[in-house]
Amino acid sequence: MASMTFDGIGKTFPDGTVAVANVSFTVADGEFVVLVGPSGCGKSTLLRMAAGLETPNDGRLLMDDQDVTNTEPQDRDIAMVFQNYALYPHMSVYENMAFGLQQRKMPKDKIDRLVRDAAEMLDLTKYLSRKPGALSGGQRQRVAMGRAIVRHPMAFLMDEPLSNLDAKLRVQMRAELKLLNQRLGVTTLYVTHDQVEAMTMGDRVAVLKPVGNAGESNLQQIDTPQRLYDRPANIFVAGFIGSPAMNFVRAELRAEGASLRAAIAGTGISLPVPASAALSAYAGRQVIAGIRPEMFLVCPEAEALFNEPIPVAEALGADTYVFFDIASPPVDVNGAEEDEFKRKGTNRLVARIPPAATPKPSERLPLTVDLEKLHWFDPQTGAAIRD
Amino acid sequence: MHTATIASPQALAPVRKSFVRRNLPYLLIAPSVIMLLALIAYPLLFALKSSFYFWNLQVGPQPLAFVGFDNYVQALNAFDFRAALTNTLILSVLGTAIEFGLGLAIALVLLQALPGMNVVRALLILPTTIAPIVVGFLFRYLYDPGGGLVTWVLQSLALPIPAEGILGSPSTALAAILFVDIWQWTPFFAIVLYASLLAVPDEIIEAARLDRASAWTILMRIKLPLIRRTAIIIVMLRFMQIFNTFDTVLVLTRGGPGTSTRTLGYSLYEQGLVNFNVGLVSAQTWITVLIVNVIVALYVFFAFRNEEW
Repeated sequence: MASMTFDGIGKTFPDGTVAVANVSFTVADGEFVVLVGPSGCGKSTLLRMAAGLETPNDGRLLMDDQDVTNTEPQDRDIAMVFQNYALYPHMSVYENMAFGLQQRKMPKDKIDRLVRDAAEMLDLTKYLSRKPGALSGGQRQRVAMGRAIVRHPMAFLMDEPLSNLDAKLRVQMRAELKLLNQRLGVTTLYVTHDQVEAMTMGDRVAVLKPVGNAGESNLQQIDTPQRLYDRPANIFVAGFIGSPAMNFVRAELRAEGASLRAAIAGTGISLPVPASAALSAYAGRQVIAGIRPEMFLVCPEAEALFNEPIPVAEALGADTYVFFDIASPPVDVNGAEEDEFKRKGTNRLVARIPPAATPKPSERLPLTVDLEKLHWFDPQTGAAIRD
Repeated sequence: MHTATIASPQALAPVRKSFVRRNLPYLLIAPSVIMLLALIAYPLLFALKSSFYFWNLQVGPQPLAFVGFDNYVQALNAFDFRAALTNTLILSVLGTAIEFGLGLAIALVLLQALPGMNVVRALLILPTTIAPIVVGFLFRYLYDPGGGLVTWVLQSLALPIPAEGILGSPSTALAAILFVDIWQWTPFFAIVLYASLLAVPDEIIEAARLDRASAWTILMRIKLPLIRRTAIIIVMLRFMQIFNTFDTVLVLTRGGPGTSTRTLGYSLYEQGLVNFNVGLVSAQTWITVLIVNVIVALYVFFAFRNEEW
């Protein structure tokens, strides 16, 4: 067991691509930390640096306060589960699991005991003599896990281990992996692009973003799943965490006496803004309002803030997602400079409503918003505006 | 009377169509089968028949008499049979083994993406593209006792060179022939093994490194087992090729001095195209075919015994 510290880690590939820059965080002993982000955000590169398969150009990597930045993979006591499992195809399940132990010159009877214990835990005992080619995807995944846990390493590194499984099996394995981690209490760094996996499995989740140059940092925020959802640090995290994604609208904050109102750009809609010192500083300026789909409330027409025709409604059974357009310029979450065309476009919003309130096609649906739960962002920096 | 006759075109058309469709696989494979029968089976059977006759073109154009197994007895008791078989086996076993080992080493170096590797890869294939007979002449100059490059290098290194020259001494001639084959065919192993090693997924190697396997263990327990099938096949191919070595021997030594570089292939040439003893050479051919097939069959049996994945 060990803690793992990334201290100002950066990696630039020989072709000049900056994959990772200025990433610092610590995974506590026994903690399960998930790295999540879109493709190209450097999450796999970070994991490979933790494994020693890539060497960082900048910063230090510590395990239990010991500098392992330039230590070879074979000299770090870590186990990795690969996306494609990387099982040895010519070895049986037993040999796959025993291989790492044999390299440590462990006595045969001890290896046998450890392999059988791990197989028992993962329900693989029946398959010990089979080759990986004769196993199903879920079984191979368990063998890859078995190969990792049999060594009792200081840390597990997992690179999208569930992404090759079908949806149902993935949900099942998600729970099993989480249970396994709680049982073994091994420090785990887990990479995924699936925010549901991140939210459900991580003790903490690190949200990463692709960087353009070595001056930025990939790491947007690292926190518990609930705090990422409740208090996203910036517009990128807010847009990444949550499904369907948060709606963003441009607005101008106007002081009306002692209170503030947010006039949504391009529309006549004006939202009353709860009193807040941080927001008051933005009076008279542009902001971006973030509205989660679940913050919309169906209301009588007289109280409606939004009352638009609904072209599309997706009934999921427990909830219904309704989509509607407002004549407001859309917001690019990645902070890219919008062009004139987009500025004039419409902004499609999504709301989550109870199925009973589902309107007929193209009917108007009066909606209001839980104003206390709105998120506000600075349009220049993308940072959350919060007291 | 209104019976459907066979001559009716309406009745015939569907029958003909279904014949082609039914037999399409056989029709497609037929040209290859005919070529194989004509070019391999027929000559072998012809040789089998000839091997039981006394038939020497220097004596007469037709077989003179049925002699049973006399040709076989004569071939096995010939003054050069034992030497030729020994030399052939030495060349085949050592040549294949050394070429495989060196080729694997080169392939592993090629895998390291060092600068200039593209050029090396292109140059490497060159020896293999040269006809063996040309390679033979090339090495005749290189081995020349009066200033050949190889002779000069060995002399410069103060290594003992026989007074008769490298090709002139029974102690070095066979090694010289072996060296030519290694020079020409090691790149073939290097290229093929390199290609098959490229196909080993990086992730598996990385997994092994994380499992604390040393570079040697990764080679022996991961890489080699994963390229096993390719390795088995090229070793078998090369073994059979070297077993039939003839052209380099013809150009470099004509089997001499004495019988020191005589191979089965060269003996066949001498009996067939120098002495025109068709009956005897047919028997020798069949003896060679049997030996090489027994060896290859044993090899394939043991090599593929544990294949299941």
